Amino acid sequence: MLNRIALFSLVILFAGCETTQERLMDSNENQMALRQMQTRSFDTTDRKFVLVSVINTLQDLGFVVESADVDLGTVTATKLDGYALKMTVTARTRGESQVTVRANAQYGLRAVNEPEPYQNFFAALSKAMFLEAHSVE
Amino acid sequence: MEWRQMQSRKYDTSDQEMILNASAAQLQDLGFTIDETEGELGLLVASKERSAVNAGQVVGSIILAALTGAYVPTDHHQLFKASVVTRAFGENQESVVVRVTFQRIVWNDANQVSKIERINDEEMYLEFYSKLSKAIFLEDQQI
Repeated sequence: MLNRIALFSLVILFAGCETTQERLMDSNENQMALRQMQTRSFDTTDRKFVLVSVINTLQDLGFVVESADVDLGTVTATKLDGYALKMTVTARTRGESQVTVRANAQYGLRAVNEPEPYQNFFAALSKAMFLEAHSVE
Repeated sequence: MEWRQMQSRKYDTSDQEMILNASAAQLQDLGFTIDETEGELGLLVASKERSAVNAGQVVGSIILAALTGAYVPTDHHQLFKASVVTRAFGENQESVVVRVTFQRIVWNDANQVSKIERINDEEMYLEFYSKLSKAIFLEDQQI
């Protein structure tokens, strides 16, 4: 019995447990790669138009918008559909002729680190604005 | 006072908006979603939920349960909250002071709140500001 407990305990230990700092800072993630995956730029200078399109797109995708700020260019929304998906999208002016959009999402208790959900979001946003989404280096 | 020092940094720029934008991007890098913002006051409130499972605690609970038959609940998930406040600083408002505060609420597997605390580990604030400084190409200074 005790052997089994010891074995089980070891399995849990080796399953890897992050410290509070790693969880707070998401230090185990490759933040550069993540940022690239989460960011696109669009050829427009109308940041407000981009923000309105972000809100519309989120609503089309089944999200409920919780807060938005035009000065800072942030929108946060949550989708509840047997799961909780919370997403923040920011739009910032980039140079003279572009607006960059950055999205990050949380699914239940973890960050969304896969490219597909972001690709889908940007594809929908791109269609809504009739603008092509460019990857940002 | 120590709290304030640990949580604050000064940057030599008058561009408060740029600092606030960079802070928002930084919080996104850390996986936070932004709950509230107030541009004029220079305020950002963000949060994220993560697992709170702690191997040592689980092992302890299992061993205790095996020996005594009593099950002790262990930490399950947690809500991190971050608030960033930026303000112009100096006689001619030539710099910006940033102050970030992290807190967390932890629930155990019986869905009871097991911890409510301010995060007071200096390392975490150091990591936050080292990343922010890199992002804005400015050196942070203690105040």
